This record gives sequence, structure tokens and C-alpha cells, in this order.
Amino acid sequence: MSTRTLKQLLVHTYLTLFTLPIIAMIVWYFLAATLNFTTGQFSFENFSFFREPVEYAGVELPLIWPIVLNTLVYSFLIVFLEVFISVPTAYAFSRLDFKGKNAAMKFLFLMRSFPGITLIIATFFILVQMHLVNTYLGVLLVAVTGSLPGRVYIMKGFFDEVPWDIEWAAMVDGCTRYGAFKKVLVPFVLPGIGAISVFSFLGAYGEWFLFKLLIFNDDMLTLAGYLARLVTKEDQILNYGLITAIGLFYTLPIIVFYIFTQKVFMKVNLGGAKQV
Amino acid sequence: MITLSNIVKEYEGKQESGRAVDGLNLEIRKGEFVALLGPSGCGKTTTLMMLAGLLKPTSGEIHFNGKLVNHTEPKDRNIGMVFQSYALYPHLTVRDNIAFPLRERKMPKREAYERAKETSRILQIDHLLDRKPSQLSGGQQQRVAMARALSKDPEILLLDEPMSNLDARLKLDVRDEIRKIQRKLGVTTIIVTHDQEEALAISDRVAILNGGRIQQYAPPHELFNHPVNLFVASFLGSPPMNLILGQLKESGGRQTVLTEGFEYELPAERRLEKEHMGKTVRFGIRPHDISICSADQPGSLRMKVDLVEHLGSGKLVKAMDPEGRLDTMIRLLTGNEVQVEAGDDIYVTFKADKFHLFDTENGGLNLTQHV
Repeated sequence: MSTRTLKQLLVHTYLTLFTLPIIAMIVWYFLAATLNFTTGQFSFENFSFFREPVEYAGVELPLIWPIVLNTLVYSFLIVFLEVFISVPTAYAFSRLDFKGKNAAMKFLFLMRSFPGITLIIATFFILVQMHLVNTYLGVLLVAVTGSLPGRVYIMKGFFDEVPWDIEWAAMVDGCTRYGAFKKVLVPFVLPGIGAISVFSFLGAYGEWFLFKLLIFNDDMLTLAGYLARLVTKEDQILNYGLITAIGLFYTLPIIVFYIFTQKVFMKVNLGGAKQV
Repeated sequence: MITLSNIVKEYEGKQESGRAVDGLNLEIRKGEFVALLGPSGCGKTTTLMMLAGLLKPTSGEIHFNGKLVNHTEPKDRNIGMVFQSYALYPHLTVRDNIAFPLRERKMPKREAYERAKETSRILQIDHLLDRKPSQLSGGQQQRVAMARALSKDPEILLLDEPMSNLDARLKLDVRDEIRKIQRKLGVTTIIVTHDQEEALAISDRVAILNGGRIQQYAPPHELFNHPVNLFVASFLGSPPMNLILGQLKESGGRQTVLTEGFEYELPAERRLEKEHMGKTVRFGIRPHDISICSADQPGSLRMKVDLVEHLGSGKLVKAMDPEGRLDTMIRLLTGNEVQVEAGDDIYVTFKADKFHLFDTENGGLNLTQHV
């Protein structure tokens, strides 16, 4: 055996050993959802949540399908709001001169790295004052405000990459400033818009904390919040099988989503503007 | 006709003296091809941007056909512009790129595409209409940029260093082609370039800029033969003009330039006004206006050859004065048939009708009369 193959063998053994626990976890995950551990047989009894409301050990949750609808509506609304606000804001930060731009930019950066959870008590009180607790509007407001600085920051990076020549060309070719933004700059930063859309969607899809904090009606939950409610009042998880089953149902769309979007966003097509 | 009068452009807070353009006057006739030429930072691109309306002058007036356009938006100026980077829209096909300005004018799609096709035929890119800019070579992108600028039949075509991203050979072809198309369409064209050869070859008149001001605005041959000042003289020409330091003297009816030990007599027909006598000047002579002669020719100067460069069409000789009478080495061009080598002693004379005398003060004004 040459030293090279020996080396490779060592490396591969090492890597395999360290990957095994992760693989084991995933395998366990699937097994826990589909295997009845007492009888040792495959069963789909954990998936009965598709048909009837969940009820066990004092936890009562509504049927999952309205929750799925909530999740989709909430997630896409978040994506829409964040894109709609962050793209023009980022354009302004990247391209326009206005008073206090630098200060605002610094503040933005500070907010991006600020742990939002420390503000949650004040946030709650403000929402109470505004009568927005237990409403979607309240959750949307808090969620969008929290993630906007990061989205704006990423989008600004994309706008910074657009050569001025392109914008000028559009203006010479008959566009107003806004026209140039809409017809030339937005298509140019489309990969960036795609990226922040994915981030916002994933963020919204995984949002459980705000729902736990601000929503008291179980039928208003989204999937992540629904999963969080499965933990009983005493913070003990009783039915592992059910949790993993719902967890699996919750994860599947994300995996599919990843497989597709990854391909789309790798196909970034730019050219025709050699930057000086 | 385009008129720029007293244009000043200040950039805020960038430098202490942030004047990119400092009192610029320029007049461009209809159908004329004008080049703005100068070293980087001379204000030529700023001037072009003001013509396009992408920058607003701090003061001064810009008129298109007698109409003040200082506050007219770029989109309302009816200009076509080609950028150095070409600035094609990467998400659109070549066809849509060329049709873009037309579509912005609310021209129906079919008609716009028809026009795009016609324009692309002029530039010989009609076989590329369905491609995206990223699938084109640099030269093709450049043509697309030209087509896009021309498709809307602009009154003024602005070219911002349009050829600086092309390789040397292609540059020559594109240059000729731009000139041909410009003649054919008769569109008033302004090109910004730092390449003097390009500027002289392509344009009817060249404006040489330095420090935000026009130094000279004239047809190419005039710039070359009658530079108004030291800057124009030293900027134009490759190899550059020889500029020898000396002093103007008059005695016994003879006018001379005196260097450290060499006296050059000005010919009678090129005498200067008396007021100039005593001034320190630069004696300017182009390399091809110096010739090698025999030792006994009157007024000849003995030089020692330092270096000979073969240019293909001739030789560039760099020579030093071993006695230190001239403050600088001189460059001269000779034919290939002349035998000179480094280390040789040669005698040179200056063509009496070709030299210039530049004042070392007063902005390097050319004191010699235009013949």
C-alpha cells in the first residue's frame, strides 16, 4: 500500500467517524417518527395528526391544515414586506446622498448585530399599549423590524456592485431615476433579492418565539409555533414519536425548497458591463 | 450647435480646490466630430457628463441649438451615449438592449424591434440579436453599445473612452468604423479620450484640456503644427517635442536664443516683437524637424548619440550634448538609411521654419507667430 492510499484511508476513516453521529441522528429522527418502539414495528400512527387535532397529556392543539395555511400566508407576507421595504432602502443607502446617511448606516450596522431578544420586554409593553398583542399585525411588525437591518445591509452590498455606468446609461436612454431603478437596477440585483427572499422565508418559517410570546390563540399559530406548543406545560416532552413526526412534516418543505433554490441562485447571469 | 459658456463644475468637499472644470468655453457645430483630449483629471469626462445632463454645472450655461439645457434631464436631451464599460443591460438580449431607448419613448414593440434590427445591420451585429451581453466578445459588446446609442436617432452622440477596452488592432478598425458611421448619419459627436492618436485621427476638431480649462481647440494638424502653449506642445506628439531652455537676446540686428554656450539665430522672417527680448524661453522642436548634417554646416550643433531605437519606419536617436550646452537631451527621428550608433558623434540642425518659442511664464505661451 502506498503512502498516498494510506493517507487517504486515514482521512476517510477519520471523517466517517466524525460524520457518523450526525447520520445516526438523522436515521434516529426518521425511525422515531415511523417506528413503534414498544412493538418494534413500522407504523404511521404518529402521523394521525394529518386527520385529527392533536391531543395528549393535557396538550390540545387544533388540526394541522389551517396551521399550514397560516404558515404559508405568514411566510410569504414576511418575504413580500421585507423585500418591498429593504430593496428601495438599500438603493437609497447605496446610491443617494442625504443628510445623516453615514449615521443611519452605522445605526443599521449596530442594529444588525444587536441581540433583539434583550428588547423583547419593552417590545411587549409597546404592543400592549398599541393593542397589537395576539394579532398578526403585531407579530409582523416585530418580525420585520427585527430582520430589516440585516436585509438592507445585504442588499446594499448588491447595489454597491452595480456600476454607475449602467444607471447612467438607463437615464440617458430615457428613464427617470425611478425608471432606471425599476427596469435596470432591480434586474441587476435580482440574485440579491433572491437571496434575501430565501433568508426571510426561512426566518419566517422558523419563527416560533414571537408566536409563543405574542399569540395566545392556538388556531393562529404557524408550524414552528405549533411544534413549540407540543412541549407540555411542565416543559417535558412526552410524546417523542408525535414530535418527530410533525417535525419531519415541518422540515420536508425546507429540504425540497433548498434543493430547488440552490440551483436557481447558482445560475447568476451577469455580464456586458466590465467595471472600470 | 452646442455651446458651452463659462462652465464651472465644483465637487463639494473632495479637495481644497475642487474645480474639475474651471471656466470652460466650447462651441460645437452641427454634424461635427469633436474630441476632448487631456491627461486624467483634466475635466474631460466631467464635461461630457454635463453635456449628458448626468452632472449639473455649478455655474455657466449649456445651450443645444440656442436652447438652455442646464436643467434638462438626461432623458429629455435626445442624446446617445457609449460608456467606457459599455454599460449594456445584462438581463436583456442584444435586441432588447438596442430597442430599450425606443421602448422608453413608448414606441410599439414591433416597430422598435424593426428599428433595432436596422441599426444592428449598420453595425454588423444583426446575427447577435438573440444573445445576452455576457455571451459577446468585447468588440461585439462595443458595437451593441454603439447601436443602442444610435438606435434612437440622437441629436448628439457622446462617446466616453469607447475604445479603451479594445485591443490595439481592433481599436484601429473600430475607430475607422465609428468615423464612417458618424459621417453617414451626420450626428454631432463628442468623444472623450486620453489617447491622442485616436483623437487626432478621428475628429474634425480637438479640444485639449488641462486643469479644467481648454488649452487649445483646433483641427488636429493645427494643434500639432501650431501649439498655442507649452502644455499642448509637450502633450501632443510621440516621441514628444524637444524643449530646450534658453534666453532670447538681441544684438546688432540679430535675434538669438542663447543656451549655456549655444546660440541659435532666429531667421529674419520669424523675428519676434522687441518686448520679448530677455525672456527665458523653451525652444521647442519636434524630433522629425531635427536633421543630421555635416560638421561644416553653419549653426550646427555637435551631439553624442546615447541610444538608437528602431521604430520600424525609422530610427529614434537620443543624443546628449557632451559639453553641457543644452539642459536636456534631444530626440530626433531619422530614416533607416542613416547610419548612426550609440557613441557616435553627430552634427544636427534645426529646421528654421519649424521651431517654437514658449515663454516659461504666462502659462507657457507660444511667442512665435503662426505662419
